[in-house]
Amino acid sequence: MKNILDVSNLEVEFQTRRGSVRPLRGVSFQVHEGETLGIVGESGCGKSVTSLAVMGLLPRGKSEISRGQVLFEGQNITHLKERDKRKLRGNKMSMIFQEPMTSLNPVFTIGDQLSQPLKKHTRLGNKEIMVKIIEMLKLVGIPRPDQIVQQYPHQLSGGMRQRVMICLAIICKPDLLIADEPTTALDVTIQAQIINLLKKIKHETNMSIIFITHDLGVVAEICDRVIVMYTGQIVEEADVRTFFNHPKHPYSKGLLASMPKEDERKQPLMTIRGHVPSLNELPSGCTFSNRCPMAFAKCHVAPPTVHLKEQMCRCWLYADEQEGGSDGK
Amino acid sequence: MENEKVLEVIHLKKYYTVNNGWFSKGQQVKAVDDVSFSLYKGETLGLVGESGCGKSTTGRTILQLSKPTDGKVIFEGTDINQLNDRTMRQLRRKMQMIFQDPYASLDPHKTIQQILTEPLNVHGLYNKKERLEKVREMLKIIGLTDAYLTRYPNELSGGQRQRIAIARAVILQPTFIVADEPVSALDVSVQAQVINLLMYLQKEFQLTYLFISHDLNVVRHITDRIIVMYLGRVVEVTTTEELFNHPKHPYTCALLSAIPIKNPDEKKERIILSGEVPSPVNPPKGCPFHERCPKAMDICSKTVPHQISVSDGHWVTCHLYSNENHTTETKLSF
Repeated sequence: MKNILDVSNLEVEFQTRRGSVRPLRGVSFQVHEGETLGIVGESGCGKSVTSLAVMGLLPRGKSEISRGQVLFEGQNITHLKERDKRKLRGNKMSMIFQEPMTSLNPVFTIGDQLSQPLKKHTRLGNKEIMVKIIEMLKLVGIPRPDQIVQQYPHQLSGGMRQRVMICLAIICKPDLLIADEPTTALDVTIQAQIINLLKKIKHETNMSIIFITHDLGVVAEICDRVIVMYTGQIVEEADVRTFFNHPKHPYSKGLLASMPKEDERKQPLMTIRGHVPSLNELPSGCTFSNRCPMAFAKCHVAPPTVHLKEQMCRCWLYADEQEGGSDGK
Repeated sequence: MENEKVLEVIHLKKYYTVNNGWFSKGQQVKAVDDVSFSLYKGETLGLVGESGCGKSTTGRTILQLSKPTDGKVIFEGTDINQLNDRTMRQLRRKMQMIFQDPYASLDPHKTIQQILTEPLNVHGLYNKKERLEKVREMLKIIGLTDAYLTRYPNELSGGQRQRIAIARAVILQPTFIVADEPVSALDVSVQAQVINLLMYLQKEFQLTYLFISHDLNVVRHITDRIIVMYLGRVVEVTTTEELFNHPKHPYTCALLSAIPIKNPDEKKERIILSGEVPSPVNPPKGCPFHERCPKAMDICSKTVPHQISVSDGHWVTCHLYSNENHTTETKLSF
């Protein structure tokens, strides 16, 4: 299968008043054509930073990609000039954010905002643009599109705004769509509508999607493959069935076990002790070792990346089960 | 379930007036419209529904954080609407609240010790030494060490802050706690810790919870009974197991079917509702759900349905069940 995106050994550094921190510490993954890759993890694990780095949207001056590279359709886009990045963004790759109210411009009508990527990236005339916009609004399931284009974001409900955001992101038929917690701010019934919509779009356009979420239920719904991140590193990578049925890393196991189960109502839930450490107080060696129920002596040293039959896992527990040679550090 | 009623809410209504500019006439928003239910000692009653359904307003109105427009709230036998401010303040000791966002609900200028001592000071409980003792004891219960006494909220993680907020509510030894989305702002792994803490405290102190949440997985885990609300009205009330196994109201069915699956191999029949929750300023006539209801009939757009008992302790507000041989019309006895 063709790789749309190939991220290798990506490191990002942020300058803060207390010195520099590294929210991404060597992240490598691929996104294949037409697949949906889920990135899961808790706040501060680096999942949003990953997507911003790929999109070239890291805040300038305060942060930089200090190591590694991002290949998009074979082209190295790691340190692309702003002008060239703009040609890609909204065109070949685009992004949906969590909060549809803050990511739409309140002073422009929906029609104005949707016409911008088309004006920038296509040679369509004004009339054709309007036809295209109406067609796309219909595709994302917006009723009365010819009236909606005249309206402002505040006149729409949350679910409608998120549909407009999705419309904005896919209007130029990108090859890669990054959805950063697109359903977190929505109610369950609206979440179900949006997930259905994204599935439909994927089915019809063969678009690759990176789906960032902390909700494992949403991952089970829509993703083909899953990456679990913890403190700026990938700790496990597997296809979605393997991940849910045979998770390997203690952190993945902990996340899955802490979901409430139907047949264990009122019983104490399994938990992961402690909390996610902040970036400037990471434990040495394996950063999960201070919360891990399986931690042992070796965990004081950074664990190797172990390639198992079905999945990849960064943990000492599986160091002996390595398939083929080791590439751990 | 023990039969001692802790709280009884009778025909509770909370209307707000909204102004759309200087010259337009104020419109009424019926945030809570004729809600009645009872809470029994030691139980956890879930209040679920989508944003804008009035679940938070119900919780706040019960605690008199906003005055009800109409209706009664009877707490341990007293009608608390009738109380003057002083008696009400004393009663507040018995009824506490936990808020969603632990970042906003703790005073950033106070240390943890000050935060936890404050409710004891306000209610004039114990002497100085005993208060500190009490605070230490409470910290131990919620799983934090004495070292946290001198810390400020910004030094704590989200989960730890929520523990403090819970401790602040429980330290007064209340009988009844309204928990408004207490775990929604927390990370998955921390959510489980806080749920466990809430369940432990309930056993330890015989607490009664009104648990407001939109997360149905969490609600299923922690509650004994559930009230489903839609546009300010109660659409279904029953035990948690009954609700998840035999939901009756079409809205409940759709809500439950929208819960994401737990495993990619799970197959699930989805009822995808069209449209969204209508604006409470201008709710549809008749049944407020009829415009989105897959089973809507003629009558639904004309008459507001009554609450009907379909089985023992299971109440539905829907015309679908009204012509069957059920005892119709409520008299607040569920």
